[in-house]
Amino acid sequence: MDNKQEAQQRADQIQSFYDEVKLLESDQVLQLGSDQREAVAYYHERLLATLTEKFDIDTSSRQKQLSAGMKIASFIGALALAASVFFLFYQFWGYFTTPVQVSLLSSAPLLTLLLTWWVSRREATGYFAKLLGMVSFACFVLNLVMLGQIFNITPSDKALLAWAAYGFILAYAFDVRLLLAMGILSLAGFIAARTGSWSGLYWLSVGERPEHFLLPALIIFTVPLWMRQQHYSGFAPIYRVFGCLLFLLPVLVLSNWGYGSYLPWDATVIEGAYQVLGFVVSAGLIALGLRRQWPDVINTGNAFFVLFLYTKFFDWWWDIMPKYLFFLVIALTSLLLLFVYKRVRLQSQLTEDGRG
Amino acid sequence: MGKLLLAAAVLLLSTNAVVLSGVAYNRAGEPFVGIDLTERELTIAQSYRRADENSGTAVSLQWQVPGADGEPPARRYARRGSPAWLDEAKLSGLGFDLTALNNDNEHYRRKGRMLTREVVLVLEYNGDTYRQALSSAQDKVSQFREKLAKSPDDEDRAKKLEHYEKWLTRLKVSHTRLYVVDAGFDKQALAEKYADGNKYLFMRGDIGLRWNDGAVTGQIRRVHVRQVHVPLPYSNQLAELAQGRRFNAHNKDPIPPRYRIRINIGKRLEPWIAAVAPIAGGNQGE
Repeated sequence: MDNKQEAQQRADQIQSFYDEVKLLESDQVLQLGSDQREAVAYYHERLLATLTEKFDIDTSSRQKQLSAGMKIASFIGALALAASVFFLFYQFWGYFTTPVQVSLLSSAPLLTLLLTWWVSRREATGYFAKLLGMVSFACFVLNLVMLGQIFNITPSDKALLAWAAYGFILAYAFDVRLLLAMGILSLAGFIAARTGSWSGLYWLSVGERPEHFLLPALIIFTVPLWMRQQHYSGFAPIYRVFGCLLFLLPVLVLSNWGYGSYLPWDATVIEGAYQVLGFVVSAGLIALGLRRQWPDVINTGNAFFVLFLYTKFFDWWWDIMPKYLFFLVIALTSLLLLFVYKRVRLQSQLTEDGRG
Repeated sequence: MGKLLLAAAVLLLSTNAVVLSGVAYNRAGEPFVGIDLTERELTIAQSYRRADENSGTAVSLQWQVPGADGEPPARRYARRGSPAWLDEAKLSGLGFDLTALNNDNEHYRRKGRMLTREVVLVLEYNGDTYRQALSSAQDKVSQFREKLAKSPDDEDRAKKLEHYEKWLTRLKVSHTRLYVVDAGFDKQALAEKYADGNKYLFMRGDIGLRWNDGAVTGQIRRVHVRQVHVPLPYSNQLAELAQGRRFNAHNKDPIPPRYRIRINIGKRLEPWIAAVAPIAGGNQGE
């Protein structure tokens, strides 16, 4: 068992096993002997104790519900605390001399890093350590932004690389998906800004040329293929989802705003080409997700396929159709999609039955 | 986890060391340029929100470009215009392929507007360019006075005269006298060309392109460091001198500048404030 996610899956499997045995016994299909029952219970008890000790998993549905609440609270708390650190500094930094400002800014990420490590050793669930890790990341962002302001340093994209590195290190050290997302976004920003400057673009204007995000998207999507993530819960889906988002969002923008492209064609042709690409890639992602059993990729592909479709409908029909008819068409399309998915689901079920 | 923690600590320390050593290098030895500017060129940056929670102080660098045709430029286009010195030869020298741009105008009109070149900008303070703008505005005022004297009932001319008189007053009292007069890649060569110590400022910025009636012209897109941080004790001095009254070059009744700031530019062309002094009685000539 390599990570918390796999351990939790095993615990859920055990819980399902007992639920099923209970039903089978009540329907008098199966009757386990007391020796067998005790042996299985003893084995599961020991296994769950080990998994709980190692990964702090939830062994009951009540615990699972509480954990979900803790995750939400920790996520909101991390974002709010990071914002609070920013505003706290802004509120008072004007009253400090430059040496005090520099000392505070440089020491804050280091101190919060040490605090994160200290808390992670004392608190098994890891929620507080994750929250503090996010604060440490925010302190480092503040550190570089404010040093830039205090010393009037020319803005540089290299800061994004430093933030990406720190985000990745913290994410892997404390198993935090939110920090992995921060690292991915910073890295994508850096690659896009750097390739943008090579093409004669001011690095802060990189958003005006969405094509610069396509290369980082491909790199990020493929990370789990050449760097195994089995020791970290949910890291591979984060890479894949952000890879998809960083590819499909620029494609969506360019499919409506051809002037933002480098392609030497007419804006209308470019928009058409990106619309086709958007449909092909999102459909391809759904197929890839089904084949590789990546639900995250299937969902992202689905969402973008529908988004591309509805954007097209809006372009074609919003102005010429009465509103009731437009929304009726949208509803009918959704129904059609439901039938298509149902058929695909049935086919996949039949294939599995055939294999069985 | 131990190795990752060590890597994180090393990353934090080394990044700070690199940033701070860059600052030390920029400020080491004699400044590349030192110049005294007034509130007209360095206005206190203020938030327009009611409750500003930022306790820091910064001054915004106010600059403009000389009007291409000698006319006093309309104030909202003061930065956006194409200065006469940024001609085709200069743009080609800065690496823009004007032949390609002009040959495929329709394509580049949209695509090329985002192309920029990072350059060293030369900003002239209170020099010939400012005096030309002043004299041009004065000529305009004289012309309209003469015209109005001939036909005193012409309301349109009266309005135009009022407009130019206001423009002239602002130009004399509150407008910035900092004009971008040249650009290049070699800061040393530019410093030798513009050697008058208290007259020229060198900043990093971008030059881009714009299309005027199908013709490609150059434009100053931005100065990279737009605001200069004011540290203690200078921030307290500025607050005392400004007395909470907002300075705005476009105010109906322009207020004369109230302070002078010594600004140094270092080896990396990054500025810092070296001194703040009051201007006695808000001298209009300052």
